[in-house]
Amino acid sequence: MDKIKYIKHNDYKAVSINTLYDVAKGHNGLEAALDQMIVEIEKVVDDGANIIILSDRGVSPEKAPIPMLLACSHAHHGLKKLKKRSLFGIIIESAEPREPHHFSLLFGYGASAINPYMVNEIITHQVENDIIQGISVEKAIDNFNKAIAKGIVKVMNKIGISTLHSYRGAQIFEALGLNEKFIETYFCKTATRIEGIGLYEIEKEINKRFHKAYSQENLAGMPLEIGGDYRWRRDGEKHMLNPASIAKLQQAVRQNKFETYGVYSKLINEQSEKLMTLRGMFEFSSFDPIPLEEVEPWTEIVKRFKTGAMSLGSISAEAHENLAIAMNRIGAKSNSGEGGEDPKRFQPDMDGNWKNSAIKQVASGRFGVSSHYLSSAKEIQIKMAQGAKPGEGGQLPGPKVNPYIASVRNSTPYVGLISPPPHHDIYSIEDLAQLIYDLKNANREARVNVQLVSEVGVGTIAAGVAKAKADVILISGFDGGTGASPLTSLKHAGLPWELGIAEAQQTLVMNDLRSRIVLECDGQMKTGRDVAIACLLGAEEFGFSTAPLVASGCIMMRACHLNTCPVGIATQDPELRKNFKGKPEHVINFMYFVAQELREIMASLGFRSINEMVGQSQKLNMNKAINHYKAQGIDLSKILYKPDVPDYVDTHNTKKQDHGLEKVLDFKIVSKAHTAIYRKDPQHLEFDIKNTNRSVGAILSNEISKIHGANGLPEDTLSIHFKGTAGQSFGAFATTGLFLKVIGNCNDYFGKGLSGGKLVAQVPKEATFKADENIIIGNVALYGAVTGEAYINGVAGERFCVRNSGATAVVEGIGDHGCEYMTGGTALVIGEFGRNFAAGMSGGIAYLYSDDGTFDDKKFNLEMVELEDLTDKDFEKVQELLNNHIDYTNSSRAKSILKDWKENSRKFIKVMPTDYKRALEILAKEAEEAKID
Amino acid sequence: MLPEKQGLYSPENEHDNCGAGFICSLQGKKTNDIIHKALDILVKLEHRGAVSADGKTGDGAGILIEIPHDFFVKKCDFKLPEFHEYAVGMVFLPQKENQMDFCIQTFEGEIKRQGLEVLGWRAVPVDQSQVGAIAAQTEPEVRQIFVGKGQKQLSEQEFNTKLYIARKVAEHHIQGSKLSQANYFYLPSFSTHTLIYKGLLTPEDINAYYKDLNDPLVVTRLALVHQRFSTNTFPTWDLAQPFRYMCHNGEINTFRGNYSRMQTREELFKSDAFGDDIKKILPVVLPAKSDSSSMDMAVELLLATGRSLPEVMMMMVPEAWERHLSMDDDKKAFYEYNACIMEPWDGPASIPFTDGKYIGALLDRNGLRPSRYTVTKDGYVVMSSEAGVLDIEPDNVEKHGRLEPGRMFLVNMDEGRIIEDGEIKKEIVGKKPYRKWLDQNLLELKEVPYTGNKTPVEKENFETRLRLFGYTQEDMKTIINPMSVNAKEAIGSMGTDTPLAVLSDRPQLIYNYFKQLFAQVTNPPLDGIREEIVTDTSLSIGSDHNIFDVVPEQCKKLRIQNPVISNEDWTRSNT
Amino acid sequence: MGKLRGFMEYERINEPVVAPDERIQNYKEFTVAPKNEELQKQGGRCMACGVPFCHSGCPLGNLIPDFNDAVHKNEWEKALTILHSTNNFPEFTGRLCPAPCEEACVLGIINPPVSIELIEKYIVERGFSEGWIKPQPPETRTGKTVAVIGSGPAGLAAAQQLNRAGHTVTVFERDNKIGGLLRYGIPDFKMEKNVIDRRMEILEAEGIIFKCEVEVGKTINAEEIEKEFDAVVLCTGASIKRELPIPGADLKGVTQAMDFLPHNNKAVDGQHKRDPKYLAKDRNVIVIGGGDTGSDCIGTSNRQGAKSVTNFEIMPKPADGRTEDNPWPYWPFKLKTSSSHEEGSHREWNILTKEFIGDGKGNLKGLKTVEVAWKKIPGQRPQLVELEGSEKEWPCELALLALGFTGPEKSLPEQFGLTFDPRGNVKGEQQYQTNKPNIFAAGDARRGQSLIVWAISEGREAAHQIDTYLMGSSDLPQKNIAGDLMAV
Repeated sequence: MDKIKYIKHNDYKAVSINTLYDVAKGHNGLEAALDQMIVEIEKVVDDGANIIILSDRGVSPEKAPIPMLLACSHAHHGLKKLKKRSLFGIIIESAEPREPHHFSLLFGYGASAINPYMVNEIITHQVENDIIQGISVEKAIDNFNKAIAKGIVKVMNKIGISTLHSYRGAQIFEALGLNEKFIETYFCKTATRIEGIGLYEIEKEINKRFHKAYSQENLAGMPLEIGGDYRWRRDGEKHMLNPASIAKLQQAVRQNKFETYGVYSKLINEQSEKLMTLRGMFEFSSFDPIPLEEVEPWTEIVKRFKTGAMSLGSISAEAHENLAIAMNRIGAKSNSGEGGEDPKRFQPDMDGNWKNSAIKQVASGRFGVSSHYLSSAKEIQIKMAQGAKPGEGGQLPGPKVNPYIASVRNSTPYVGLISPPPHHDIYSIEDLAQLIYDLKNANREARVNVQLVSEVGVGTIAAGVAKAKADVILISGFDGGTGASPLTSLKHAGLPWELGIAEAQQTLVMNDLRSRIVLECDGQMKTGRDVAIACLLGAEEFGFSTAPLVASGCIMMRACHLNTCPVGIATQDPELRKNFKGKPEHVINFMYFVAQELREIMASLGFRSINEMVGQSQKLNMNKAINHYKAQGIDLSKILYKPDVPDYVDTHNTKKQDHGLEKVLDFKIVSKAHTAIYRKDPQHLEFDIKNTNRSVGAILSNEISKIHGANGLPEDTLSIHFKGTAGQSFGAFATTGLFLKVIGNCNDYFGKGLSGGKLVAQVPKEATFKADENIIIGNVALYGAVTGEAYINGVAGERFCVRNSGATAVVEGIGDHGCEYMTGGTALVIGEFGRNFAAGMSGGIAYLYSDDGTFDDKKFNLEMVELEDLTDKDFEKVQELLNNHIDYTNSSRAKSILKDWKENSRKFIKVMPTDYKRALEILAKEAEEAKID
Repeated sequence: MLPEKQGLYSPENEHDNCGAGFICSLQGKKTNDIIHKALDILVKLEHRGAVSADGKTGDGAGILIEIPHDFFVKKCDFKLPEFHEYAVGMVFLPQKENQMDFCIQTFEGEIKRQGLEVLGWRAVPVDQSQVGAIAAQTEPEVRQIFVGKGQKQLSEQEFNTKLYIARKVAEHHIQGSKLSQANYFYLPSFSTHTLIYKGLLTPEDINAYYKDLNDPLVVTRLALVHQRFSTNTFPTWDLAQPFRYMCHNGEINTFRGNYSRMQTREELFKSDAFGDDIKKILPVVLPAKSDSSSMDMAVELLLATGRSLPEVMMMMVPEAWERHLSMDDDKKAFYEYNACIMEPWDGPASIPFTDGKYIGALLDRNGLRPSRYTVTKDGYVVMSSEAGVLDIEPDNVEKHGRLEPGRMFLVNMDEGRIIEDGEIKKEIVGKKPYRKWLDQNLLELKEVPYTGNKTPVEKENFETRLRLFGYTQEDMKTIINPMSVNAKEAIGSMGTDTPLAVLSDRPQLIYNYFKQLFAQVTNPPLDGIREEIVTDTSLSIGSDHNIFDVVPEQCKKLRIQNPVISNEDWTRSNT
Repeated sequence: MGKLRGFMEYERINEPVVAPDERIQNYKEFTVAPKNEELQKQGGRCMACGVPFCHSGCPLGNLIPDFNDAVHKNEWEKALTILHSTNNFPEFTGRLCPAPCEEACVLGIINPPVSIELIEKYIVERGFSEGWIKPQPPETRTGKTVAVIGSGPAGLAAAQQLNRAGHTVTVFERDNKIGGLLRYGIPDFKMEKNVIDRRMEILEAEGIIFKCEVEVGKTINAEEIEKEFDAVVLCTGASIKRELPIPGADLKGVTQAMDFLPHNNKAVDGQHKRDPKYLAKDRNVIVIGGGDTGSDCIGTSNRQGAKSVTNFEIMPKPADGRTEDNPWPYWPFKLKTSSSHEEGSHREWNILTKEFIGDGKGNLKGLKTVEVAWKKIPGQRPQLVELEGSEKEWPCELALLALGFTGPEKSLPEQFGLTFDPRGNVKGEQQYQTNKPNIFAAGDARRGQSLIVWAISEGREAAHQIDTYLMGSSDLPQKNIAGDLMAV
């Protein structure tokens, strides 16, 4: 920092501008100081300064710091208004920023560099006092700066930006609880929708902190405030799930006492006094009571209830199955989460319990997403974003990946799993439409649900998703739970569902798209009152996650990521899992209680059914009794807004989407393939194919899975040749026994979710071009392939075999990011390959071939893999694959390699994930020991 | 038009993604058939578009072709100069006659003010029965204007600049007039080479709506088509694509930042060609347009600075050069130099572009959108989001290719050949001694020497300052310490159940009143950890320069690799 | 925090003790300090819960996970700072508290809970032995004066807090030494009195003025106090003993526990010789009342050499563990066997004393009892029913009545002109302020008979209110009870 501050260079002139104000003058002092700052900056810029350092150094009993973000944004916008912003860069020297979120905001509002000097001091202090041990001050500060840089990259990546250069000044934030006047003045063009506080209250907050700081100076031995944002402390921040509410809820469900639930729900609901959530600020109005008996029964209402997506892996089998059994018993739906599901659960067990999750989730990791898995769903949920950490992938720490979890996820035991931030088959809205189409093909009976997270503009996105033919849209609040997430994502990304569900409802009604969509809402829903409010704002189905877990025994340890959950819920430790005491009855009791509380509210408002109640926001008011200096400024009228639409526009779900499946090529195939499908007799068929024939093979596989389960048909039972260009998702979820060959070329998502089938793309005989120099299949081939084989007689696009967990593929060239996130299977590439090969690859093996036998290290992402020479066993494998490739595609390249095998075999290299190697060794040893025993 | 902001809905949040493609004849054969082939591409991409609640209104589609000179000579009742010596404007006008007249007069006035000549107008024949109910509500009057160079001898660049100024000023004037249908006034194209037919239509309906397209005299060497999938059902006529120079099938995520930066750049605009008119064209990027439309406006401006279309595209959508270990140094220098002028317009997008002489396409640095092309032995190039959009016999295929991340695919129509990425870029990056300029001007922070001055130690007690800036025990334990030990952020679990900042009794830092936005559905979040090669956190600081100039001063900037800087810059952290 | 899997690796230990027959030979504390390493392990059993129920279960809100973590990391001085930030006198609670925190400990769901009280005790003992506990007099004085009446734990806590805020505090105690029930109610074998004395020294060095043998209301009247001090806080305890009004209650040998115990304590302190009427030696002792005081009587009687010790409790024998309708994390009503019980006693449940039988000379000779049952009536408290034919006589020469207290003495509050709540306690709502703005009440006097840990909490909270009353605002810590198990 000192380098810049005292820079001596002809081209650069740095000037420090002090960002303090006279605390005695209060609000006026702050406002004046902000204005004065602009005047000063203008002056020094006119004098030739091109680096402006905004500094909050030099606080004193008279001078308090202007919040740095406010100063920065004001300098940025203020000078922009004066048309002088392009003349200088802003550098921040501040004691404030400490979290990635803080830094991201400062960059987002125009800063070009930040010196967090207080953090530097703190780290120095901590190291010197041995609180941070075994590391030098320099290294610790360096680490901190790196961590922040990584954090900022994550924040940028969340919105899809790669460079800080483009992120700077982009203001990719929404304000929550700041009034429009304040925003217009200091944070120009930032969305803010519920009004809230302004400069006056901001100053009041600074003042409070300021006075406390100086008065506590006299109180010797007083420690710093505890904080308590992440862990409950009596003197810390308030939490809704606290000792009192957790204890009461558990007591209520275990003793099946509605009165005790009443105490719990009162604790949660009395938020008008406690002021914790937006919904807490509402009150019901225009009562029009009817007898309780006239309200639809609780057994009907709970059919609209769901438990949230919690994967087997993040929670134990016991807890996962407990939820499924409970929800199946009452006709509600549990959610598999993104970790796949054991096929044993797809049928009811001997005790009559049914552990099948009605909702099967499809997340970016595609763990265990096979034809059979999808075929067993009543609803398929595409997780676009997760409330707790939108824009980031899920993570399952290594210790939680025990052999059972690994088998369900088709991964390697004890190797940690990370799902990619994006679905690699959804980079745009039409890609989502395609995935919906794929899934609809994979199981026509199931509703397709798209999970979104509340943020500004989610209504518009929901409209797009409705047009992309989703059946259900779930709007999640930002506050939802997670097994593991970086701390800043937990708190700072996304918005409360109150805003999201209302915006979705309003926009969908305005578009007349509401009637074809079911709207669902979740995110820390805990009581019947929460459900009632969600319903009045537009939701007709409701998800619960944390509360049913608490009902099952969760005591909010917040140790899910550590695998040490003492009550056997969020752990895979066999000892700890024994401690699980939850029973299906507990979950059922909770659902029953919530439904009953909801019914009481419905009766008081005069609704006989949920359908009548959806979107009737006129029954809500902002609680006028709220008397709190900050909350007073909030205006929730935009949430309660009802668009003015003609009578024929329905405001809740009344019809089904038209998925247009009747034209699908698979129906033609199915009608001719009865012999193979039903009698398992081998059959060969031929068809022409065009790019408009999409998801070919998915319906076929669905039919086979329904009859034959995960095993499908015997190998190559149904062989089909297609001529032409295949549309997207050729061979999606193709199951065992299918042999699908395209003679021509294919588009993106070739072999998506391959589930045991064999796929071939072959260059037509008539073609004169060289296969290994021409592209034959598109991007993101074999994404999430579970098992099966693919032989590709040409070049594939980017991200070949991304998230492959078990399929074997041979290809004659690929683009960038090959084998990304692969966890299993084999890839043999006998041609050019792009940059960033094997990024995040934690399992499986890749063999590469180059004409001269050399490989450029720079093209690999060596973070998780090693490059090795092939062993004899590997050579056998490669030879076998090349022979297969020739058999299926007549590949001239494969032929030429095999022709001079002795010479060419030296031109291969093996890419081996280090974790995978280690795990294989452990497993081999275990197997050896088992043999001896 | 878009509905007004109401409730929680705001038109600013509209997004779109799309299908796009082009076809051109390398041999320069002009046919009407190309148009129909191109439209056929769109029909084959129909699953990439969307339809509104009325089941008929598409989110918009369009086609860009060359000006069919012979056709116009025949159809116009006024005399036209030689091909390319005049410009044709495709004009959307208000339906109300009085307002239409106002627009026509204003526009003509500005054309004349530039010393150009209005040759005449032509009503574009359309079949209104093809329009869906929703689209019909906002259907404009469509006419074509023909503009000549007037008396003066003008170079093509000069003529284009004048056309640009005339249009811009007319746009600003009409938008500012508060006419109820001011928004209708829009020029899909205004060029000496290209012409765009577009609207709130489905692909099948374009040639039915625009009858011109079926006339055998309407011929072209190239056709660029596009259809839109807007997230919302409030699509508008003017936001249908393609735009004047480009279209794209993705989303520009950085758009908010780009838009804001374009505004500040305007502070420094200066150009001899524009003279005083430079102030009148501002803002260059109109507010409240789509990301694609805005990008097109920025492209227009950069073309007006004298840069070529491929150069402009390289500047706006650079390859991921920062961590590219094997990139040629000249190219790196070009990108590094231009990074001082323009930040990337980044997002998943394949961007076909053309000015009539060049037609090509560019793919984003992440390679997130599909772009496939086929070159046929009989001399056609077909590029689109998907393969197989036109039936081509296998034995006619010369090459099947795809666009690669950050790479450009370009056809020089006049030379009738495909120019490889390497060749185009080599030519462009060799134009100026960028590396030398950088070496002489760009300063790395690590190279800045200490002057020996030190920031004085704070006077107030450490603990007092901790309290004053709101530090808690948890900040130390949970936030700062893990980061300084592990160099990464700590992990937590379960959700958050604390009050929103505005509802909390405890004094909050202002940061807590802001929530991060994130990508979902319309664009993907990225993976900066696994795909680090495309990520960059360096920034440059200093004053900007006039964008019209390509001079060494542009790169007088201080460059910082990780802009989180410590009190003393430990040399290691800055390398 | 803590050790990641510490709770799975380490077993709980309780504080080691000297064997009963050895320890009843004297009145000394009989615990044996565990090794530091062992305590570190015990701290490592803490799971660093997201919602630490222990912290909520503690009336003081002790930052239990935080000090456990510090102990685990061998950071004892830091642990002491954390402990002292919520608890003025951990050496009292570390010995005497029934530890509701441990009952609420999350680990208790699956395993024996963390030995929180043990850790607490040794943090503070370490602090004293290392000399870390030093007087912290305020830097500046406010010039305001406060009178604290009563020097029990509530009074002392209030005094220390108020003194820290810079007020000049005077503590009035009617007895001859500071400490209230701590000194004369608690037997030395549970807490030796030098524990009070060493704390006293700190308090005095911080500038608190102590006046013993001054009984406000008698030695000095209320009016004078009010005149002299800017604020007054009543911490006089709940000292009216519950009687057992049955035939024979006036016999010699029927003795209140709270007369018996102080007498013995003073004797241990060497202040006087034992009066034979309070001596259990060679007598059959029956302690009526199954609470902590009763248990103290048992321990004392055994040390005095009683012939037999029997303990009566009118309630049924509680279950050995938690019952379904008494779930975690609430305070469990389960069978508690104190160290005194282990030293030798016979326990009777469901027993009601009907009559004290005299020997004709006015001396107690025996007790007449009847067995009872508790009839459950839905929606009401269970009703007591005497079982016919279950009458029994017990030989007994010393009956100790440990039946608790009914409330504070009324005369002083009345002199101040204060009002009472329906239970007879001084009315001082949550704000601790009585009907007179300058007079506050805390501890048992306000709350009714309760635990020491509550008394300290009351004293601290009252101090915050008094400071606010005197200065307009207060920086003294205050307990936030939202979401708390123990919401007052």
